[in-house]
Amino acid sequence: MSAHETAFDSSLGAYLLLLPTLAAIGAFLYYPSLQTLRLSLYETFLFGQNTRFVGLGNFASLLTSNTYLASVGLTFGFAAFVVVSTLAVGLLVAFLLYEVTNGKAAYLIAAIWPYALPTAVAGTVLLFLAHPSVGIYTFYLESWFGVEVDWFTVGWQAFLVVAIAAVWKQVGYNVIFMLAALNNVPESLNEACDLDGVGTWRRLLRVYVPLMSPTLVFLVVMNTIYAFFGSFALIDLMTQGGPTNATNLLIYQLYRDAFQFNNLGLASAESVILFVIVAGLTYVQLRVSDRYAHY
Amino acid sequence: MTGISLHNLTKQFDDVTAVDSVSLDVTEGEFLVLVGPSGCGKSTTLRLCAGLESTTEGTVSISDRNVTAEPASERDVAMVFQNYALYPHMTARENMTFGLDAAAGFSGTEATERVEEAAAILDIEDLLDRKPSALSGGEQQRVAIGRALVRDPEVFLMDEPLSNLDAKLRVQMRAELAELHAELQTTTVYVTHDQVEAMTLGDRVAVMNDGRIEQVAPPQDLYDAPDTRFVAEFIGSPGMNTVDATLRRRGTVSEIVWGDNTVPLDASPESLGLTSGDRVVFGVRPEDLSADTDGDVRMEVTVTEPLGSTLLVRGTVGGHEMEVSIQPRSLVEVGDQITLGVDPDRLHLFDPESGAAVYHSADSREAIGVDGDGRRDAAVARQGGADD
Repeated sequence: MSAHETAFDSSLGAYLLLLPTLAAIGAFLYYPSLQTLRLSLYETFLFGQNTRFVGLGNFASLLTSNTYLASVGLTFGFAAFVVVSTLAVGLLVAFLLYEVTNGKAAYLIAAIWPYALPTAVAGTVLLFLAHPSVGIYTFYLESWFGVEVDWFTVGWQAFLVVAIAAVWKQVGYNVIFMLAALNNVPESLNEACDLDGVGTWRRLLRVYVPLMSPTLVFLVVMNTIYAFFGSFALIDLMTQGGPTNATNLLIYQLYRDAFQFNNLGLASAESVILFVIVAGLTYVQLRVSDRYAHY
Repeated sequence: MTGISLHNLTKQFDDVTAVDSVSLDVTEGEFLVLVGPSGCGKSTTLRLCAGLESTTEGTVSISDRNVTAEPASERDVAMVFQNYALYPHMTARENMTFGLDAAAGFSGTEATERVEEAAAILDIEDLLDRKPSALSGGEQQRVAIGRALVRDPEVFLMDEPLSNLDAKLRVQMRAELAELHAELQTTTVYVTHDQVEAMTLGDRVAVMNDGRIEQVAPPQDLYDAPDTRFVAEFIGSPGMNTVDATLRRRGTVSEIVWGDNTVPLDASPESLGLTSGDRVVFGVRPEDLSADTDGDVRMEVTVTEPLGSTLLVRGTVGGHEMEVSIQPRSLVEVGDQITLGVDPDRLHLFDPESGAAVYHSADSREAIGVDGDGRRDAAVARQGGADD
């Protein structure tokens, strides 16, 4: 303790040093959060110029709205698909990258490149590649598999296209972390597996995955947050929540309520709900994984 | 039948030759120790046997079967690693059975029986349901050995298995390993940099240096009759003193001379294929020197190291560093001049250029005589024991 006391003989100096950070966090994080919380209890008109206190009215109307509840269900489905698929695809790609010996760097760049692409660019590119009438992917899907691709009007197709786009965008991030975790597996364990004659897939699932579990838990959490919040740009660019609300995720519904229907009070309430859902999920994931992850 | 046989085994990493045409036969049931300083290629040799490295040249045969091209899992070997290499997320039991699950044709009950059996031998029955993080270093090493045992392999390969243990535990595990081998009689190749471990465990010891085998012999032979200057200096604790000296003949008396010091030699230079005045490397172990007031060798003491059972004295003799092991509690202090006697039956001469042994006096001579001469090509290991 004495070392601290000689460094700062009054705590004033310490607070002074913390001030810029505290000010920035306060102004851009805590204040807006508190404002959101406050606003969620008001009905707003004219971009929030006029407000009227409604208590939990916004929450009541949201939780009784079929559109909103459908959006909640849809978002959970979307998140489940994105989290599971991103982990599965990421793991496969990371494992292949780990095993490959020639051209490792080139493959790695190829694998993480979508992550480096701005979402807006990715969304626009995908929109054209998978466009129902002029997209090159669409052309081959239709000619090889004989499916009718029309995700501008077919709901489940639109959902799938956006979900796959979201996975494609997020896989690179997962691969980076998974590859780092794989490279941390001691070489002698690989050699023990070689001697034991443990096959490739068994090695992946029984040795690598358990050893990577702390990283995997982290990725589950990050992917969940991404699925709930990060998919906005893709939806806005590709489907605008349609067709017939088939891709109307909570984050997009929130955006529409706030900036298209100018209902800031309702949007704030949605914000609070979204926050509670994601915070709750993260908490559950961390608690559950404590039991299974090997730190 | 041979347990494991290496023929002209060579391994190159880029432009470094880690293992340089090593040939070695390990008989079935033998405990062979590969010993040498860091970077001498002993671990690489072991890994070549295991199939964890590919050979650049030469062959590896296990039980008379050429396995050079076979993957590690097909070679019927089990390996114990220095860092144990246990799967951290599995219990001791799972660690031991994981390899068995992988091998085809193992029923669950058979695996269980084998684990119980190995656990009983290693005295780890109570630890089977613990994970490695809940085990001490010695216990982890037992589990690692257990994992090798349950596979019932043709050959055990051990890569410095005791190096991560503390000194006391190392000595205890060393004895247990010897006991285990006596019980199981499985062919074992054991790598260590610790020459005490090598001497105590090995039926035979192969001393490696610079990718080559310098000598393969039973431990006592290595100590008594080292083939090369390197072996002489490496084996023993501390190793043999070696000094540059000259052979001289005065009338009928032959002697070894360096500085003002002379040591009589009971063989003529001619009988060794040398002439008076030739340079040689004279070797004598610290244990074979003694404090002797009538001695001809004078040492100026620079360091004294009391080891309890002996007093190790280091000093300069005729400009050369030498060590001598004398009676404990001797009254010797730094700066003293002491005279030393040399055990005439324990003299060694080496060629100054090649380092090959030229002569081992008296009871050393017998062991050399069996081989014909003392100048065997050090690069080619002896096939079989020293007594064949």
